Amino acid sequence: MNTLKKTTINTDRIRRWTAFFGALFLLFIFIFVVIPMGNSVPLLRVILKHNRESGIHISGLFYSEVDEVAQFTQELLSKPSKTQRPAESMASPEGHSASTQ
Amino acid sequence: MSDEHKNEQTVDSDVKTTFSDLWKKEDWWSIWIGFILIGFAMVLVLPHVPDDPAQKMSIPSAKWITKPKGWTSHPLQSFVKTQAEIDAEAAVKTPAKPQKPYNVIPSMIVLLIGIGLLFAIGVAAMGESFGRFIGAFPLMFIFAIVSYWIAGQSGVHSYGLEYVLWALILGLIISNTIRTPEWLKPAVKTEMYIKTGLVLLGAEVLFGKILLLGPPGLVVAWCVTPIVIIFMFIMGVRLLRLNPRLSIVIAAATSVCGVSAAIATAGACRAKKEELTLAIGMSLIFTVAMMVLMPIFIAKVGMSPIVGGAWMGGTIDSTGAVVAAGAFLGPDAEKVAAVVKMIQNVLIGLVAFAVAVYWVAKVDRTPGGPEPSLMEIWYRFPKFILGFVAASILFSIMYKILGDQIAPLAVDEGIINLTKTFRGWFFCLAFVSIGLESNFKDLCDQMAGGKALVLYVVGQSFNLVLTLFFAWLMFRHFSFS
Repeated sequence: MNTLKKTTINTDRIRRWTAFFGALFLLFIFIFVVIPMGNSVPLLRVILKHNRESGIHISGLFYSEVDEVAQFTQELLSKPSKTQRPAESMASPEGHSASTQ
Repeated sequence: MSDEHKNEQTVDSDVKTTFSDLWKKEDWWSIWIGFILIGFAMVLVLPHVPDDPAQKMSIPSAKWITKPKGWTSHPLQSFVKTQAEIDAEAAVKTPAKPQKPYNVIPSMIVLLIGIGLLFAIGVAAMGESFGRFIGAFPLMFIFAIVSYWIAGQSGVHSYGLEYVLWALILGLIISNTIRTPEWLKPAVKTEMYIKTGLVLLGAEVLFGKILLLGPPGLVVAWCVTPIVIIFMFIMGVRLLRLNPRLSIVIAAATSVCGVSAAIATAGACRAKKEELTLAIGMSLIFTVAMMVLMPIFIAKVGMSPIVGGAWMGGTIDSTGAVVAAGAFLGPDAEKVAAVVKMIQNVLIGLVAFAVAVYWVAKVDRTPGGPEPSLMEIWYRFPKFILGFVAASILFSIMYKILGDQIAPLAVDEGIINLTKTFRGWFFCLAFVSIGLESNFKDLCDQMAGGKALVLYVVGQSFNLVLTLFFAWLMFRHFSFS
């Protein structure tokens, strides 16, 4: 009876480890065979090539993980604000602000 | 609240609070650890902020707070890359961004020890074994490293398949084949990792940025989102008879910003791990599809790149995918898409807080019972949300005080650059933990006969149509000049 129980446990263990390595193998196939297949689909190929070459962190979850967002934010912050426009429109024809005259 | 959640594992469960909860409860420890790391980042960064904003900032110790890098065909380049290898690659093709040689192995070891000790102290204070946690944590950290390693492979990365997906898959493979070993379970702390990560995420939610594109950006990012969330929640609960927690997590993932919003909302409403997993799985799959199809559609129909960029920014879930899709259409589309997405990201704080309050005050009430008192709401409120909101307020004020010249250096490039790395590690550990605690059958049950997918597809379609309308309305005359 004990021998039968031990055999059952060992069989179960072998089955589980086989499933584990099988799953890892499938993962390997997915990453190195299935995913690159996207390059043979014309629609996908263009986008994937662009994504690879752009240097953008495609898998960034939040804005702080994508460098381009910080760059664009800084560009927008350094633009003159809309509240300055009324003062500028009252400026001299030469374009100097009223405060600097 | 329905009975089905009573005996099942949720993200957290809390009743009354006492003073000792400050050092005995997980929610409070997530706040302490989060703010210790924020303080640590400030100490590292602030002494190095240059007086001249035109100067580049250099933080010598920042190299110790990092993660595995990207790689293509040489797996070890995720950890070590020499100058010779960089030069050899540059000789074949000029890289998009300049590269420096690196070796992240020492920093991995330092992070393993540092993060492990921090959490072990918290775990021990909560009455569990310090030794058992320390003994189990290294393997958890290795699983997180492997998840980052897979996500960094260039082919995988070009699809936008994020590290959380691989962390989940790795954990699921182990738990459903060889079973999670008993000795590993002390370090399987999903809620603690998620909550600490969310406190750090709060530091990245900066309210001062929401007006960068003026009213157009605010309308597309902040007006459409609540409409879609409410629509999807009502549809999920009333029409499809789905679990309210699952409905709100899917709604937040669809309308706000995908994975991060799902995590924050799941924590706020104490959703089950399987509900979070399902919402994230659907979000990731549709993000890839939208990242590919939307720019092509926009180009084909001749839509204005700025309107198209705003449309993608308001609908595609992850920021990386949004920027990539926008870049495909051109610089203006890329800029608008990125900034609309950023403004939408900031909404995550309000959504998480509102969901927490709503759940405590309305959903978790005893049916037919009286309105909960303020003290009752305080007892039941997920305290880590306070840490999340406090970090957000602190950093928003700091950003304002430092000004538009110094704040991007000190906060964006400095402090947040460090805290976001910690936050990524904690989310990765959280999803490894979710995988290690889940089984395929429970996940399949959550599909509820396909209703969850119906909710996502209908909700996302509504989101697409509504956002397109508002993007056209608000951005058709928009110009960066």
